[in-house]
Amino acid sequence: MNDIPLLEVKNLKVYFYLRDGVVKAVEGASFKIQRGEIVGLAGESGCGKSVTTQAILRLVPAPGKVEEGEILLNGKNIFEFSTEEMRNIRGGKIAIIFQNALAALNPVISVGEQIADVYRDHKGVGKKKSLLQAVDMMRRVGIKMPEERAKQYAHEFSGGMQQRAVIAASLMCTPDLIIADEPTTALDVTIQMQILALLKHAQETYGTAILYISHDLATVSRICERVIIMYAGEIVESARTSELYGDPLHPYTQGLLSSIPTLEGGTERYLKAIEGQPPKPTEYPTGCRFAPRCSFVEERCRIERPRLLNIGERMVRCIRYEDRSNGNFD
Amino acid sequence: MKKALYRLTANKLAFISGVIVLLLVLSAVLAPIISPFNPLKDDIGNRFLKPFTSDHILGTDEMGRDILSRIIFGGRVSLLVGLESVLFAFFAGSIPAIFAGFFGGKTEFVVMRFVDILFAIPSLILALSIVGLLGRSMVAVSIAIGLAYTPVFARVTYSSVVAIRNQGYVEAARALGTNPLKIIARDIFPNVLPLILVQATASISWAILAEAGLGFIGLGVNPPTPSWGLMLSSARTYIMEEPSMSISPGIAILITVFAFNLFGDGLRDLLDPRAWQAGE
Amino acid sequence: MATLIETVSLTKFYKPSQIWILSDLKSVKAVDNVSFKIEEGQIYGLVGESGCGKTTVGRLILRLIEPTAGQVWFDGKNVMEFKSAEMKEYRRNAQIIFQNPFSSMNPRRTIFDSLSVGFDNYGMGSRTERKQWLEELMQRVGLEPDFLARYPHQFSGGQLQRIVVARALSLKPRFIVADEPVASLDVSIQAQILNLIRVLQEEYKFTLLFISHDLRVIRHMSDSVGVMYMGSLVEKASKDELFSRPKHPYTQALLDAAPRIELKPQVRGDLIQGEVWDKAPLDKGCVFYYRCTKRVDECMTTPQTLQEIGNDHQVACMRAV
Repeated sequence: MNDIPLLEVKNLKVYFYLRDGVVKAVEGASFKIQRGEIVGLAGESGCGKSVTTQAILRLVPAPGKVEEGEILLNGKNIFEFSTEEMRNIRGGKIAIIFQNALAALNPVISVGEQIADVYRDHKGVGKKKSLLQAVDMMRRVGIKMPEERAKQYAHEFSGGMQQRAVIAASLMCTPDLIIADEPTTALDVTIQMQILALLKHAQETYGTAILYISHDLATVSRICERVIIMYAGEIVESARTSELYGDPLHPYTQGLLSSIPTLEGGTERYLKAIEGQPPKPTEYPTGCRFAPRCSFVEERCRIERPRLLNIGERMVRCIRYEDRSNGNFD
Repeated sequence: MKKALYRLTANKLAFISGVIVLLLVLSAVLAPIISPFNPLKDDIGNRFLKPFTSDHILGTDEMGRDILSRIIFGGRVSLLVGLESVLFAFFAGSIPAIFAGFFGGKTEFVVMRFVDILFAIPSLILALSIVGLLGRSMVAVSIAIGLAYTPVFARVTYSSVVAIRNQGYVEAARALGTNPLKIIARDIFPNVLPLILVQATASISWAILAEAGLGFIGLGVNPPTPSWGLMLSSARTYIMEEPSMSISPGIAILITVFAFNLFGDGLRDLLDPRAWQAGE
Repeated sequence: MATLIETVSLTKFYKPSQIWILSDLKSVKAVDNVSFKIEEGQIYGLVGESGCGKTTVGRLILRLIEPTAGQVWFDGKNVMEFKSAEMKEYRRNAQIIFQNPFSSMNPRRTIFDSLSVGFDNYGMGSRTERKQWLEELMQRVGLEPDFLARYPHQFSGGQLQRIVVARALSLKPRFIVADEPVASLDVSIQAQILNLIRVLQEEYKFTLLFISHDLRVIRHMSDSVGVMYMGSLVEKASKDELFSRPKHPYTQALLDAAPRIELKPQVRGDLIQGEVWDKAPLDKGCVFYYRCTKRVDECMTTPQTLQEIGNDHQVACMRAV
């Protein structure tokens, strides 16, 4: 049994140097993904989840910089890889799927060719052979009549099919990890289910691990085995799905879960909304970044930045659990 | 207003080019006052004086006329033609396009097809016909260049208006009972104006070049009215003996075109509401 | 309770461009024969996925788009027959809130100016009076009065949406269409805005047509619900009735697929197949035929219309009756 995690992010810090000031987009994020695991990274806009994935692929755009931290892929630090090695990893060992599938597809090249290209670039195989592989993969991801579809262009595909095509492209080189950044947000609910089923199927068939990014806590709970919650650039909680949703610890997680309207149970006239707004990235408060909105806030919260505590297998960044913790993470 | 000036100074490029544009305009307006000599006065005895060798700072041309004075007065012509042609294109192109873009349907069909036809006529032929019809004069040149630019202004405005028309605030204005003309004046026009302004400043520089070009081939303003194009044209004949005669109008054109273009860019930044603060 | 809004066979077809006379492109049925009633003071939820026509219905009711057929009745009067003076009066009473707060406000005008549009159009109030009204309105929506002097780009999505709500309320309308008002907002802000709409509705007592694709939000807000699929209303019922006894296969599939918190990962989705675009709609026959898992041959040739199945619950499916 391979004990080294597939991906290990250690104390990742990504800062953006803007004219107006420094935006600390990610402040010390640490987590692991085991082989074949489906992990969710959830949070609202501006929490740093997308920047984290950019860092994993070493694609953080200027003026952003990875200030500190290590990202270990199978134990090796990717920041020590050469440009060539990194290029092989992208699309090869780590694939990424974005929210807007149409934007990820070239409008003037046939879909089949694009999917085949991924295979050709990495395996150096000929055009005909890679096209056959592409058609096969398209069939596997549920695109009907793949031979004809392969010759068509992106705009001829529906939203759901476009996303399937993107997933097909990402699976061509049987990556170890697929990073899915809000892959279903732009799709209809009935199609979302199909895409989630497809991703799960990919995990079961190829043993691919999935890092699932989303702001939708419900969708995350459907597919992920473990969930990491981010807020204002920090990881605030991490646990197995059943534990996180059944017994949320961090006040933000609790607040978020109680504010979502449900399909079962009674309906109140008002939701339990979290007061206030997420802080502006240029104006993060000292101390706990959630303190201004927290209903359990104490004086200490505003002064010191809470550490990420270990509670068994779970992690929480909140001083209320200090006595329960068996060690700090950072 | 104060804040607007402050922001202008913050954007160095816009500021410097803005100052140059201002100087150009001032020199055109004050031409009779600042010009050292009479640009039309021949002085055959002092032909082809080299620059920096006499009272005539930039030398004299083939008729003994002071080049610097001709440049200054030529600037007047260029700027006026630039301005007039752009104004023409704005009224003949942008204004109908706003209505075409907003109302769609028949209005759009009529206006945009007319623009298409205009666009299809090669601009040189157009210029020839206008000048042929109206004779060689500043007005004729302005109209000719203006007509050539009308389709560009129309199309740029049209697509911008169509994009704005679909914005939520336009629909909200309708839902609040606003009548269409008010919507155009309040919601459409202010949001399409920056684009038009940028197009206008870029066009002024092209118009100046066009005027020079037309003057060069003999379709511009009537001599002896000095125009940079005419100056370049006559300088061409003497380029072996006295190359400096081409350099002065050439540099004048270069600086003017550059300044207007950069100013246009800076203007766009200035008009971006994201830079505005409360209280303006 | 009186019926404030009634749509009768509301229909909107879009004709493809006449240039392509040689192709057999059929008209797009954006809204097909939609009829429902909204009682005064009620919140009516209209739910469906993309392309179902719910947004178009909202616009048709406000006559921001002209229907191909059908009528809209407001307080017993036929909106389609309103001339300009009556239309202007109608507009005063029927407002709209959009999904995207950033494109809902003119970026070049201050909040004060944008919120005064209604006052301008109906000649209401002097500048001082307007200032007072708007300052109060800003506080009602939870914002500081001096935000009036600012520009839209200076606000966050949630704040801007509150301003959009304020604008809709400026004329104190009797009816508001809220078209996906929280879909573009962060989860933690969505709850705030939903609560805000609820508070204001109870205070100002306006009637609300709440359009959304999110069943959870619809369930939370609505008194009655209409489910749309590809232009047609396929099911209508009170909120409680619809969610406890969904009868149409599409409603059932939608409920099944709706995001809910699962304590153990499980992916469902066997109640529906294919996608909306897969095939062109049937001429005569159920609009849901190609994706329905409960269909029979007859469904392909018999058009489905809304049938009453008791308890004020209507379904457009012969297999459900």
